Amino acid sequence: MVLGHGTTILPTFMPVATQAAIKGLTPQQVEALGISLILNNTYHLNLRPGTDVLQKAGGAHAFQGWRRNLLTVFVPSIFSPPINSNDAVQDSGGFQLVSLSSFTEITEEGALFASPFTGEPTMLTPEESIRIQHAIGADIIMQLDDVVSSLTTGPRVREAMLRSVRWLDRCIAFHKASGRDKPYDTANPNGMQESASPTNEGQPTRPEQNLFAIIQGGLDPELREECLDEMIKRKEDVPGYAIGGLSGGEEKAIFWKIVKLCTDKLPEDRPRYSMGIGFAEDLLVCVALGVDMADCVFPTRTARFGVALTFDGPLNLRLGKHAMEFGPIDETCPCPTCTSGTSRALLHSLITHETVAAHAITQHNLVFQARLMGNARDAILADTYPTYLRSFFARYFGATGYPRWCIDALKEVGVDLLEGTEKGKEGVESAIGVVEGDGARWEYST
Amino acid sequence: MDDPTEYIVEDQDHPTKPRREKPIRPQKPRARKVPPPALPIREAIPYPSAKFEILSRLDSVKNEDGNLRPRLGRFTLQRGWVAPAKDGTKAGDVALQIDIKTPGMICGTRRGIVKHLSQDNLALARGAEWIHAPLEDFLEHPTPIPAHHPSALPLHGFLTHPPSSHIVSLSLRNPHDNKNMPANTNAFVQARTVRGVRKVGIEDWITWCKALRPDLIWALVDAPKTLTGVADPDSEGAEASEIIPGEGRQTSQKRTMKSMDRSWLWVEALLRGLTTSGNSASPAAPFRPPIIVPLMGGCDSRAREEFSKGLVDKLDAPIAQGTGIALKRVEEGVTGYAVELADLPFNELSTPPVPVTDSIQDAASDDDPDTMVNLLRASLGPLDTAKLRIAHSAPSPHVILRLIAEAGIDLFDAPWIAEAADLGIALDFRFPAPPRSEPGGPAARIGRSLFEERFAMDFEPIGELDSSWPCQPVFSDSHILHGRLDSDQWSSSDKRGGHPKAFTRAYVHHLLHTHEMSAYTLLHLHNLAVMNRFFDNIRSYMSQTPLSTVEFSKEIVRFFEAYDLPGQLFDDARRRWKEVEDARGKGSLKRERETLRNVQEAEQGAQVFAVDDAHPGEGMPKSDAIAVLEEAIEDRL
Repeated sequence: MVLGHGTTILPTFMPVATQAAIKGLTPQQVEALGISLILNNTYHLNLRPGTDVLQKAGGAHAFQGWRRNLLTVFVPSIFSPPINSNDAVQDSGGFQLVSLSSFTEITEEGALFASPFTGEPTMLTPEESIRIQHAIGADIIMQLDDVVSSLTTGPRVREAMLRSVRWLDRCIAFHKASGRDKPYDTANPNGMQESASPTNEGQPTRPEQNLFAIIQGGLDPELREECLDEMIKRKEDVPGYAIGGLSGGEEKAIFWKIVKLCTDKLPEDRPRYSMGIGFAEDLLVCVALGVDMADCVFPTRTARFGVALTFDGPLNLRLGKHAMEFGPIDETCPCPTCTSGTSRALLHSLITHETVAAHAITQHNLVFQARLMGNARDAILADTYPTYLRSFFARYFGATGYPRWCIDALKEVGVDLLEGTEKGKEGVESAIGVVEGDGARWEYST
Repeated sequence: MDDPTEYIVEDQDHPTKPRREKPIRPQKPRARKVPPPALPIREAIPYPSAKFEILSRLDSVKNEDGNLRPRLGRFTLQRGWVAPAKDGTKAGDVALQIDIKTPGMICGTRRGIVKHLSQDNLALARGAEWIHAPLEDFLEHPTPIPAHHPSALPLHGFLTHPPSSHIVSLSLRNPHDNKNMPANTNAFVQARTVRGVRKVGIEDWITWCKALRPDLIWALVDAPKTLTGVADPDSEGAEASEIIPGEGRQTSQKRTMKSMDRSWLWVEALLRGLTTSGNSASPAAPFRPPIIVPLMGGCDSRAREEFSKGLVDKLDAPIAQGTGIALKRVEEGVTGYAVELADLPFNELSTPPVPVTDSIQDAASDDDPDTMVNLLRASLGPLDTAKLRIAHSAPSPHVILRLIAEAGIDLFDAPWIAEAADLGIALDFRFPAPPRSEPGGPAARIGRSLFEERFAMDFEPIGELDSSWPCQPVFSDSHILHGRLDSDQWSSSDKRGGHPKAFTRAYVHHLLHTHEMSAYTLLHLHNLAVMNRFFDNIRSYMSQTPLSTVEFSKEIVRFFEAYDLPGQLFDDARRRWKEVEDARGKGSLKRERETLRNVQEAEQGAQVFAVDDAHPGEGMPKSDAIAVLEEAIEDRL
């Protein structure tokens, strides 16, 4: 995928820099990890520093010193999952937005928000959301959508889906009218087909911004189909599609079916972005289902709680058993933490005292996600993705058992995860256990 | 009761009345718990050699003690070997040296970690080449964890500080800590750990220094941290209070003498304990690691002078060292001296120096023998002038200048440098002070509190462009490649976005207000570099010839006029920090943690009044029982 700030090879995982910074790291550190596309959060940047500051800074790239690709999503994360609680993690399954209904009122005009600072109501229209994203200047921007929790049922889901389609039209119209869908060269403004917005006079060459549509429709296949049909009709004005409204606590068994439904229908020549996906198994299954991009705060947030991700499963470095482990998190990991001799013991001794431990684990976790996806890319190129999936699951879940939903989802695309692991055909399904339910694997207490 | 693993937890309300917790006994481990493994056997590598050269001294016009003149120098730590493997597990044979120019800086740390700087950012830092760690930060475990690290230099290895570029030194206590502590005794010093107070004897100290192999070792001394003053032991109402920073800790003459006696003994014991008979493989290797001796004597110049003289006096029994000539004096075996300002009346230095001139004698400081300057002079006077001099906890750049000029101090650390980053302050000052825009106008501050609203739209770099990495950030040309096609992402033709620009005040302001940790990383990198430049400035100023102490002290007076002391800047920043902290509302995890901690503390506090049958004050609240015991110990000594 070639965007205004360089090339990003897909499929990829996008780390989240909610407030214009990957927690604790500098842009230089993030880039050195081999990451070429990150996320900012429209909602947060609009509150702080605000569009005035961003415009004066020359956009979010310049403001935060990030020279690679940038995507902006609109996710009010007022909800804050208690990540350190085992149950909550497994229940929520992801960390995207769940519900806005407690503090917003959605009308046809837009979404009415209460400011978290003052409580003042603020109307956010599709046009305003695009205007804010123009000020931010990300390479990929998202339409404003009417999100309902994936657990919502009834007519509200259909209403939200239809409204999201109408809002997409308004976003497209506003975006095209601004000329931001095309690159703009200050040196040659006449070369442009449409006039640039006046706020950017005197700015250097500005790359185009790509507006992605967000597929809604809850967990209802019919609504999803309808939404897909409508949004694919607008393909000429939509450079990419996101699958929204998931990762809100729905069952994984339904989650993957909805993703598959969307990816089956979405055009091949548009990138597909699955919002709020960050667990390793979720990512690999989604890639198998045809997803190109995903984001989640999970790897960075979990790092701050001392959890390091490895191909043998997550490690909770706060546990006493790591106190005397002088080896790195992962011997084979190329990240600055693992290659500098930073031991599990050091991270254990620092995690509750010094920010440095959070930084070091964050770097490691981002590299883990990137390796996971990089290996997936290479496997796809080599036509060995099923083998990669099997070897990943064997290491990552071998000890605890494979999540049922992963087995089912992959079977649907022709990959038998249990192939080669069967002891005998009859009766015994596998030597490897199968975990029903959502099957997230956490080292929180042992 | 001399079990070295016994813990005393300080009572928050009565700092001088500690309560004793049930001792933690590693010999009776809980079931299923494996006893800690023996320390790994390591390759015996020679100690590094330390050399301090004085390159030049400022001319003195006044007929003053030549020992105390400001000097330019170079401290060199030379390793007879280098660790080629990154984790330092294998010793090679390449000589390697690290130079620290003086006057210069030491980077004080907690847990040996330069605050907010992961090791890749530490490599970008200036001013953190010499890292000082307090061992007490690791003493929540019976044996400090780094001692188990397999590398030849376990402390470097554990902390990931490369032996090729970083000096790591070790003291038992955090030299900045001036909080009251339970009384030390002839057998041990009280150290503060995250799990309470722990007793550490000289033998423990020697064992751990041998196990940890820091580059330089601070001698164990008995610095009184109990509140004594004129307190009447009978008066129940006498509230124990913390010392007021900068006013000095008043200690009774008896306690001062005791402190000196113990310190002399322990310094000598450390020398004996660490001196080897030589290394047959490298006969030129030093017989012991470089040792720094903190100078004792409290706020009494006669005592300080006496203590220093004790270090120069002949030892009763010389310390044998291999084939070399035996040490006859402690001083022959030490690399340098440290002054711990935390308990001294350093506030007196926060006024401009009285310029020394040919004619006018500096009478004021001669009147009272116990002024700050005289205390330092008393300490340093008897000692070998060629030894390294370190001052801990200098409260401001102003005081640093005076200590260089008036006591010839070579190296400095200060807790406010790291604190500045935490408070959102970007330091910004130079020496000599730049000319003021309007003569007679208000003095400048030594930094900017980037929390302030006026920086929200300020797109200037956080400091001058030459000052630090955040002001001239560089992207690395190497990127981790995760897939075969990944190099396409970083091909040169694809490098858009141009050169990185300096991080702006507006960006750091934003990060501070959104509680993003990156703010602290950028600010600490910047502030260390500003301090480093300040010392660069001082050294280049001092290397001008001819330059006398008169001119130097005039320039220092100008610095005092040009820059305010840090107090107001830091107070304002603390207030702003608090405002933002509060404004973040109930959602802030940090506040939740604090609430949790308060609850826990309240719960722990409830235990204070539990009765401990084992103690003589049976039936009394624990803290009172301890007080009785402490008094009994004090009387016996």
